[in-house]
Amino acid sequence: MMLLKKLEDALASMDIKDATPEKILSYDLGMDSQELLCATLEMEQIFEVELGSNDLFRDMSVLDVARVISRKLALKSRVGDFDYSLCEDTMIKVPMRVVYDALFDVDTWPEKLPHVRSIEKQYDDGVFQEFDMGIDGANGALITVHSVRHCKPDRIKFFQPSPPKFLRHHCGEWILHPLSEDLTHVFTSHQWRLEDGVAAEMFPAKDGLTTADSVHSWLSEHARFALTCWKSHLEERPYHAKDNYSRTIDSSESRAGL
Amino acid sequence: MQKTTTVERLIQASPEQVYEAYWKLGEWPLVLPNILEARADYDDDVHQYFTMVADKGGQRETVRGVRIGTPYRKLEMCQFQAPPGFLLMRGEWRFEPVENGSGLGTKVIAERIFAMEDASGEAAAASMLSALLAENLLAFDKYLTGKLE
Repeated sequence: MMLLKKLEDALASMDIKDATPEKILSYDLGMDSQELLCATLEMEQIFEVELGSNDLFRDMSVLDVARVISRKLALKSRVGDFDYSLCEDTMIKVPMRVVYDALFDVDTWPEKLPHVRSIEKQYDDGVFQEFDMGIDGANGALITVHSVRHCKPDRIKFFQPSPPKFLRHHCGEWILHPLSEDLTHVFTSHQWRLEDGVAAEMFPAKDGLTTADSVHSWLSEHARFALTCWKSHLEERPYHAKDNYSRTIDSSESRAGL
Repeated sequence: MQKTTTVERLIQASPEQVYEAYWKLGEWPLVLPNILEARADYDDDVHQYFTMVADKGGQRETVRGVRIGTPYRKLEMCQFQAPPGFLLMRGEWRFEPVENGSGLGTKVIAERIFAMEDASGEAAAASMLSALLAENLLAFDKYLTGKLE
């Protein structure tokens, strides 16, 4: 069941009716502090997540609550004991399958993502992928990133067998949660260990920021940029509900009779 | 067409011990006599990019691939360079704790998904793979049991 529907049902079981995504818990649904506390405990049980006292507030919308729960679920499922991690997220107004197809289909990334210049795929069996991605670096330089991915419909794991010199290890995931039929909560998470000496040279401590802080900030910026690109691309691009996204015939191909 | 072969075996060691033995590639030549070399070119404790050299009837066969671990529960693998005659070779080991009279054991389920260049060889390949997986499980069983005795 989609997360928003499950949340609406949970609230309905507490006699809070019509909890549609845009409704505010207090103003629209009339929830007081005691009811919010009860709802929090109920949601912890239903979604099997831990919700702290600073997670849910009465001025949140039902969609905000769904987003908090979805984020808890995404963070809960992370594997590995890395020194550093980050998780950025956005909501994209297309079905989960459309987001997955776009993320999976690496061959078309240079057409969709402004910073990706080339993709050279070495392996793809529909689940595992290995490829080199050429991206724009500083001063117009081309940086090649070697990635391995493991793709399942709601989760794409990736790692870099040859990470950038300032990282000893670097991996992450794309996690997709369908909030409703046409709304997907998309997470990109990164986990890493620093190659201390090189990192200190490339990201020297300054202005009260440590090397680790600067690397974190740099990777977060890249993660947010990737999410913004995908959101912008996918929400602008029409899709056909019954077709596979990657097989959608665009209008120019239709006109050409292909 | 993709085919799947699955073999399982109960090993008298905990899922942690069995998982670690499978994860540590350096131990593979100690476990399996036909493995001449095994090394992780990248290993972050969850993902491995590996190279393995096996003796196949006097011929050295190099296998390159990746493994992704979900500690103590599952280890997924893919050979980017499939063995001769194969188009695809990937799979997983699943490790399920089993309580029995002798203490905690582990049911190890080894699964391979494969595709052949020549589909007429699928049945023979499935038998051969089943036998290899069973040998592999037996070897790890003996290795772990020997270590724990």
